[in-house]
Amino acid sequence: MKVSSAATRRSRRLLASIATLAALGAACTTGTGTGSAGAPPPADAVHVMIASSPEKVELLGDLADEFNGRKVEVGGKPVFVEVEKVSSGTGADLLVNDWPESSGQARPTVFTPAASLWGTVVNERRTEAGKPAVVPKDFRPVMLTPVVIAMPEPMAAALGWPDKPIGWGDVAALAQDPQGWARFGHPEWGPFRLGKTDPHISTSGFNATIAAAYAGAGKLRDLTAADVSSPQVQQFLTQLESSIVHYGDTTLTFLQNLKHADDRGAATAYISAVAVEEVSVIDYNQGDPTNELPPGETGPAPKTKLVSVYPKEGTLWSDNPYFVLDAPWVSPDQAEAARLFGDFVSEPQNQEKVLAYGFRPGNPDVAIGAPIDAEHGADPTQPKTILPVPPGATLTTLLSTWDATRKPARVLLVMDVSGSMGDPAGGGRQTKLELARSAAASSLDLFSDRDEVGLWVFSTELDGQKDYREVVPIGPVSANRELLRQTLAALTPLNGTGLYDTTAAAYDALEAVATPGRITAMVLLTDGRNEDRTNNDLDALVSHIGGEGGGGPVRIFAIAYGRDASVDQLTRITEATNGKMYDSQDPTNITSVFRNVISNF
Amino acid sequence: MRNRLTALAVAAVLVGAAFLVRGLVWGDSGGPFGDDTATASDAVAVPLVCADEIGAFCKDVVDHFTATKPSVDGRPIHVEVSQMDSAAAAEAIVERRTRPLAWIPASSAWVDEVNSRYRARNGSDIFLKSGEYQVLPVAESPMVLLVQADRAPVLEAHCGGTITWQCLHAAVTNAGGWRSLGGDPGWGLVKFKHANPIQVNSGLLSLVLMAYGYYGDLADLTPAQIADPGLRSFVTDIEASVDSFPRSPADFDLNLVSFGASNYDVATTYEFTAIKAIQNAPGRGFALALVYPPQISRSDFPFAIAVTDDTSAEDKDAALALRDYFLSEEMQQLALAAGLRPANPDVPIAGGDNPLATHTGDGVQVRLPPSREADFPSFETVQALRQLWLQEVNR
Repeated sequence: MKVSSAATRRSRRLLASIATLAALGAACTTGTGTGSAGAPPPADAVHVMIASSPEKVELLGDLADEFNGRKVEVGGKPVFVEVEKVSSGTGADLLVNDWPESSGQARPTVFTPAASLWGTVVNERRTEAGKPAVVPKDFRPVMLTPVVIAMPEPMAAALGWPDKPIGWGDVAALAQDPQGWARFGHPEWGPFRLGKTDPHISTSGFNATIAAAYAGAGKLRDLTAADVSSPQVQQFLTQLESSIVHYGDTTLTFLQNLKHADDRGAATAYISAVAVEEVSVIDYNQGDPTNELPPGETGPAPKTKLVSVYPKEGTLWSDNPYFVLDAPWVSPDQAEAARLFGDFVSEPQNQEKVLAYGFRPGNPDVAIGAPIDAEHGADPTQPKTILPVPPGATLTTLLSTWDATRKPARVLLVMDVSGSMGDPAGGGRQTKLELARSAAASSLDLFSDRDEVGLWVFSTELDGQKDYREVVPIGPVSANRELLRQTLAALTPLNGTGLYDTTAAAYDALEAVATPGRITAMVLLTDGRNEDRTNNDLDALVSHIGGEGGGGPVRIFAIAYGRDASVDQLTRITEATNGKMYDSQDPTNITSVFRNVISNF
Repeated sequence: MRNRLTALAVAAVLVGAAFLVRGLVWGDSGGPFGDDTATASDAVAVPLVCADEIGAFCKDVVDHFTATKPSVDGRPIHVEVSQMDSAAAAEAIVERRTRPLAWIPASSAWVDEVNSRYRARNGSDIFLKSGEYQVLPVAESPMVLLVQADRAPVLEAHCGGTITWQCLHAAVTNAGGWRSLGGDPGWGLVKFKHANPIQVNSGLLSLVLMAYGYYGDLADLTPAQIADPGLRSFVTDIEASVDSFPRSPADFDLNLVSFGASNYDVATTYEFTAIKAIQNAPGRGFALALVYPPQISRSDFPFAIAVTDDTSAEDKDAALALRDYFLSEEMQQLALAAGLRPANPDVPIAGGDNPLATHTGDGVQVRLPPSREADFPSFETVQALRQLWLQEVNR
């Protein structure tokens, strides 16, 4: 296992990411512009653009509205603050590349990712590229939340929680134990299943990977690039990653699936532990697993509570830094205006608002309280110790190491080539199929050479009575990549949409080759709904692929492509396998959606 | 410190005189000026640079001062207050990039340094050390150890009753962490914390105390001693246990509280900062205790009036009025409320309803043992310490 090949893959992922962003323009940022409730900025305004990680966009947007109403001035000009959503990893990639105009989003004055380690990564990669740092070392946290190991309460209790400390080492040992939960008297829970997001994109995934590397190195500080490249750490990470259910761009996927499993009374059948931020545990226990409810509102509580296990080795904080960028595109007036808004965000009455979101305030003068309490699965007296954020070179090396040690995937791309895929996409010149072909081809660069990928297409009666046809058998990407590209480029639209037959057949094919050592998954793209009159039984399909509590070996990740795609049908199909449905109703978003889908592997 | 000014009695006299002058010139009920005194075109401007550790206190005092509508020779006084780290301000003043009429650094040692370097360039001091306009402290605060309350007894027991720097060094370099010291294994390794010594005065004082602790001395620290490999290892060992070095007092205050009990076990900071952290910690689910280190370094926050060829008599008198206002009983009570030790001896600590008196149960001592006060080292030694840190740590 060599880091050099992983580094190549990392570069591929990075380049593909940038290419994706460049190709997609505004779509890449999934931006939610906020500021003065949609009012345009004054013509002569000092414009402060804030690129914020998703979890605090709403909070900062509300504060921006209030701040803009105060008519604050810098240099005699009014200050106008606007907030745009960008994931931490994507924002970091953009900053490494000087935030290209092709991203479709204005260059930010402030970058506020979920954790300051992204700033370290940005500066390290810019240094590697011979560019000056743009992220300052000085920052204030907007709000705080520690990374925890979230577990269904009965599972945590089986390990001795809350009396016995539990750590990453324990998780790794359990993940490798062939007896799984039987070791702790619960054979009905099966093997230990871990959920962890893609560290290239997700902060909690990055933090969890750092913590795991510390555990693998047997260290509690001074983690070096040499440590994370060592055979000892690589072996440890490989073993830990082997228990991964799947990866992904957001921890909310795990929590949403867990909630679905909980609704079926099978919370312990889906996942044993997932690395998330404490705030996500609080949201889950408040009946809001996907963080969609307004602050302060709650949904139905889960049957099985989730608890925060604060790793005994220590943990890392998502410290939500407010970085006023030291970049050439930031004027002194913009920097000053950004600092004034930062001061406003830090005021006690505004910091008290972050509590309603389940975060701990950054301002030390503001005490914490509910919902950061035992009732919501949190312990305000924890964590008792931390793992220091390693230096930049260690972080970038670790990302490369993760590429080489992550669990490999066996993925079947199942593409809809029905007649409607020949329709124009989003009013542009290209058809939906042409955009999808291009996006799928681009996504091939995101796979590791250790992954295996195949391709099916489907419409109706495509191969005799069958609605589907295998066009590239599943095989190593290293051997298949060019064949897949050529095949994708040649796809043409015809006939209807035989969704159910195809899904069932593809599921069976994957189940037959599923092995514990690989993430086995289907990427199902369709722009319609099932049109096969000979098989229009969704309940039967769900029953077929669902298994006991969705605990089968194959995950389905579906892309609802275009406005006519059946979100309802795809949601049921993906929920049945504890996968995820991705919304690409605007076809021009398809490349970024594909990137997020591939992040599960 | 041995070079600490002790003319507090003089200060008291001056405060009394200031009240008298104030009453004579503009009266206690307000002066002859309207509400626009701050922007009057004939105002005497007093650019004041405060050590950023006491920036909030300075601003409070200036606000109160401005509210009294002060004047000198019939002209309103307009104070423009800003805050800056002492080291940065010293450099800027010597280079004349910053030209304050009044400066309150963290320590008189900074005034001495600037005078020394200014004299070498211009042939005279910039800040007067004697006479009517002499440098006078406006408040004091010693450096202390801030320790997680549940861990303090474990560490003290391990150290034989007194937390020395040698003992702290042994603790932070112990691979077994708190488990080996008889503490809760969940506390992890023993972690130290202080502010960035290049940008924050308390960070620099932490290095000074560390060096004195290594030699078990209270004075005459030399560059040669800083170059000693044993000391360098001692310092770098301790610094390896620090997760980050906040680069401003505000960031440091935040780090002492907002991350709960997770990111440090022992920190060095000012006594008034420690008291504020002790007050805030319960709101974050933990408790802190204050311990005085074997060597005490007292910051005296001196008010220094700059006198150059451009300084008029009115400028000096306006600055003098502000200095005397800082030393007034009312403002000294304000300092005390912020956890600072008053420079005015007429404002007692003991027995009052103030943070120092009310936190004795958390380790605060109203009277400090003078024999343990460490001298501030020479400029050359300070530079050597900074270089050591930049070369060996610099995170």
